[in-house]
Amino acid sequence: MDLFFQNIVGGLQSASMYGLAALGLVLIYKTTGVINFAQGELGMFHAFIAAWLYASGIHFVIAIFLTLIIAGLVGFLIEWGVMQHAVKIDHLGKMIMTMGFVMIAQGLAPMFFGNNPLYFPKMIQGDPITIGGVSILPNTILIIVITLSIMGGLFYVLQRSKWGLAIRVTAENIQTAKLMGVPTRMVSMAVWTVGTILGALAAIMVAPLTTVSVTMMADIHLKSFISAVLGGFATFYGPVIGAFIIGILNNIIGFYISSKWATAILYIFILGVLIFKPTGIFGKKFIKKV
Amino acid sequence: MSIRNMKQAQYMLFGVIAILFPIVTSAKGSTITLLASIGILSIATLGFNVLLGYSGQISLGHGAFMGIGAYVSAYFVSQLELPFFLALALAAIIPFFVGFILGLIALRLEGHYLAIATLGLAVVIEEIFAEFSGFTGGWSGTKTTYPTIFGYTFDKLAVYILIITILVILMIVTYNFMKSSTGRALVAMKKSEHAAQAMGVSLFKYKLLAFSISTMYAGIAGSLYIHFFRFAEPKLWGIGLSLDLLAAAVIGGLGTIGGAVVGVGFLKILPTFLQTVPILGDIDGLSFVLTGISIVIFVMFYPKGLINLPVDIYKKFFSKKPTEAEEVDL
Repeated sequence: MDLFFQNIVGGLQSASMYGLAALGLVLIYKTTGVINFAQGELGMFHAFIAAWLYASGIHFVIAIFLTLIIAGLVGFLIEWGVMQHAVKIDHLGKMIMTMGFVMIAQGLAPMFFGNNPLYFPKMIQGDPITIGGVSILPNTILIIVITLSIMGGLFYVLQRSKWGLAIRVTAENIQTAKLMGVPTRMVSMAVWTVGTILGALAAIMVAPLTTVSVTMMADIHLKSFISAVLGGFATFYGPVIGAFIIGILNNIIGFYISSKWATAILYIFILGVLIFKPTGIFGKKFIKKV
Repeated sequence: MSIRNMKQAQYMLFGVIAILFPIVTSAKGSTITLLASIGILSIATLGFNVLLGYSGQISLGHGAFMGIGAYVSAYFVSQLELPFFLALALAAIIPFFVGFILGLIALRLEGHYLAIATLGLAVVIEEIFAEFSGFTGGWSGTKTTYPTIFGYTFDKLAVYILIITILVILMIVTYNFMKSSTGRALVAMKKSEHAAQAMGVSLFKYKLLAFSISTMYAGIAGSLYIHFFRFAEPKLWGIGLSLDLLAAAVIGGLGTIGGAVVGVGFLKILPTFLQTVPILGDIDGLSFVLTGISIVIFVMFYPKGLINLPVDIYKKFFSKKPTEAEEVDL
């Protein structure tokens, strides 16, 4: 039984990363209608920035903060410099544009940081702490705590503040929101900024577990999408809960069945979800008006 | 009727030029490799264009379908010693069924679930290819030979001619297909989904059809790939390849036939060209960045794609006549 709980704790750590990335995805998707396929690769690029800053002798906490600021700036610039000028382009075109960003990020990373993988340290070193037979690394606890507090903060802002209201209204119906005087342009700038920061944060958390390389985010990126499908694209909290289910399942499948096939099994699982509950757990029935 | 209106003749002319070019210039082996890879990717992009250009769906898994086609073909030719054309046909049919099943699941919903489902395929397939080592040779890759047809074994140039021949045949087939009632339904869907639906076009059915057909092209391209390069490994068929196809389709011109070739040509010649430029040639990843920027620019400012550029320039500078309502240009 201890092993089972051990896996759940490990799952919570992966879930944190999937959840952050999935929340970034759904924030942008709900308010602007664009699925940001570049989320993972932008995160990868930012992880390179963090690792490069660290390698050039900057303390890693400062490196992380600087990276998050840069990530926010990149997200803002993408919205302000490119996406905002693409008003007349349909969602499909915008999605294709995000795939263009994928290629740009994949090209820029080796251009700036070379072809060799870089190293980024754990946020806290230290021996595992044992609680009731389950041993947890301090870093794992920190990742889970940071994720939960960021999510708590974001959901508080979404539900309670005027800004959150603006985002929720825009997500509900952008035309009506505009008519009601909601600054939808500001909203989409804000969600691109926050979304990119969340993606970068997920990448920074993954970095110590693997190495910082061009392919580091492929798995996380896919699983954040899977989480969003499982939780449904209809709500902000759905994908996050989806991420926790996927993260825990991922570790349990990896431990009890096969770690090699965990991603493949989850993929088949999500195809099953698409067959039986296509709108996801928290999905609403989709009614299209012409 | 001038040749400008006879698409089939244009495609054949293109084919003849493409075949004669390396023969007349007695091109180096590397040039033939470049031209052949343009031909192979053009076939896959042609199919990708049917999907993206007409049904408005994105696939990130076409590289994976190319891989399936390649391994199927290599397996049947090298292990079971079946004739090449039979293996080629199987390399088209098997991805078709895989695509059909995946489409059946992912296309039922409005939205972009196909892109997500195929993204998953692209990530998962590498592991699958690596694990089924009896079939694919695992991480170390699989080898096969140049094809043999009726006792005649091809050499490099002959395979290139075969690739271009198949490309031209597929261009003409695609053109005729788009003029058929099914093709018309796809064109209607491209113009307006709602109007098409109102005319009795089942969006699900035709999107599924477009997706499965496009995977067939990918399978054929994969088979030709492995019989030209005679080697393949699991890393090849990932998301990068699918993004290349997407880039080629967008840059060349969505929903066009010639655009597939022009787009792939742009994509493949760009890095080769950059290498000849001093300083720029030494920068890693520059062609990637430029391709990405091109995607964004073409989507934003010139969605008609490179293929329509000469016509538009001609119209702008030489034509005094007001342009009439344009017909659907393939």
